[in-house]
Amino acid sequence: MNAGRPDRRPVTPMREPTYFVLASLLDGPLHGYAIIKRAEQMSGGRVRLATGTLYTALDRLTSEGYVRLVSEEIVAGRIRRSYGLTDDGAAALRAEAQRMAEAARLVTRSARAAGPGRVGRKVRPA
Amino acid sequence: MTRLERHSRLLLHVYPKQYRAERAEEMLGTLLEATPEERNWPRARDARALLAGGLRARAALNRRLPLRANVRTAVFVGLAAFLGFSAVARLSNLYANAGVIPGGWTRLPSSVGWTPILGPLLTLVVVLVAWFSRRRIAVLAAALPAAAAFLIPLTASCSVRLAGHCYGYAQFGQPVRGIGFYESVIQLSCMTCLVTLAGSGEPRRSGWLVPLGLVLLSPALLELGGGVAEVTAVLVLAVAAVSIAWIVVDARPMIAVCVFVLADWLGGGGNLLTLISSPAVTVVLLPGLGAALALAIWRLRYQSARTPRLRA
Repeated sequence: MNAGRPDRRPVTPMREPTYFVLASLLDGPLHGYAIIKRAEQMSGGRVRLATGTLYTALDRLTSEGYVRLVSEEIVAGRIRRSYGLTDDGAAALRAEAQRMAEAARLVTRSARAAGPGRVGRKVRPA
Repeated sequence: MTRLERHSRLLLHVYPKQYRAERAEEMLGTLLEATPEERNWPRARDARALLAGGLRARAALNRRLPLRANVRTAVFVGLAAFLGFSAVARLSNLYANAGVIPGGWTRLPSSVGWTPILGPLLTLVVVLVAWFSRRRIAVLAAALPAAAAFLIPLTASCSVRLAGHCYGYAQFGQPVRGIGFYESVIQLSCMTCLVTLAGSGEPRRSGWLVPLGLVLLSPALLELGGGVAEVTAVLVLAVAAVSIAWIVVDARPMIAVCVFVLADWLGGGGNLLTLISSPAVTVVLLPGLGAALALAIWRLRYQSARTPRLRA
């Protein structure tokens, strides 16, 4: 998929809104408001993208080659653009998901090794 | 158009014009869909995000040009502001003091008595041509008569009174405050720099005209408003304060302010700095200006396009 091209995986962790903007496009191209709704749904209501944040993220992701403009249509007299994930964007999203899974595994593994009593134990205030 | 749409459109003006032309309608559609219909204004977090996004988009405009081009633009604006400010100050002064004969001033020969009005008027023409024309030759053509209008009274007054400052101008036979020797040298030097910088850098954006207009208006207020020196000082200082705060988005206005203050100080502080002149101000002025310039250029480095460096 990425043959012949340099690895464009991010070297720094993605910010959460960026992650969910990319994740919302996994099932296919969406327009601005649909991305906001999908990101909110996927994050269980935790990530509620503001319009300004969404378009700043889309501008950056488009310039980085992670997102591309798929279609334009006129709805109620206004232009509506749909955006889709590129191959690089999908690879970056997978890399980020893997990084977070590895980070999570570190904690769950050491918590399991320490036994059930250590996790969630109440700490007495000093 | 609903009130929500009207207010949303107003908020979108935070974004630069080119960005709005491409994106405003799409963003507006998304914003209206995401906002409950009964609201008159977008939600606070939407407004905050639009403000932050708009400022980021404005900062991104500088990134299309390298540091050198951005510095050239900033210096050009500072010089244009200084020359325009000085010209308006002199014209206002001539108007306000018409008919008054200050003691000890030398009367110019009547043959060159018209030059004090012509000098500032031609300077304003130079500033306008330099701002709007993309051709350096046009700016040079405008600058030559303006330079002559400075040199003629300077030579004439020096020939009349060799010692001290070369004051001595006449407006229709009446001596009025004119321009000193050092101020003339600085004016001519600034005009030369303006001609050199004209036609380079980025196109002159209309956004510069608001602070520039306020700065040019201030000396007219001082001279013609009757004892409103504080208003003038507040106006100029407000422009300077906003320029300093704007460094987060764009460091060029701060560089322009530094160039303006430096030129005004070198020219004898005849205009702005007389309002705040004191030994303490002079002592801290140069180091302060140097520090402000260094800070602004350091910040502008990160706001400008990066130029690839050649390896030896």
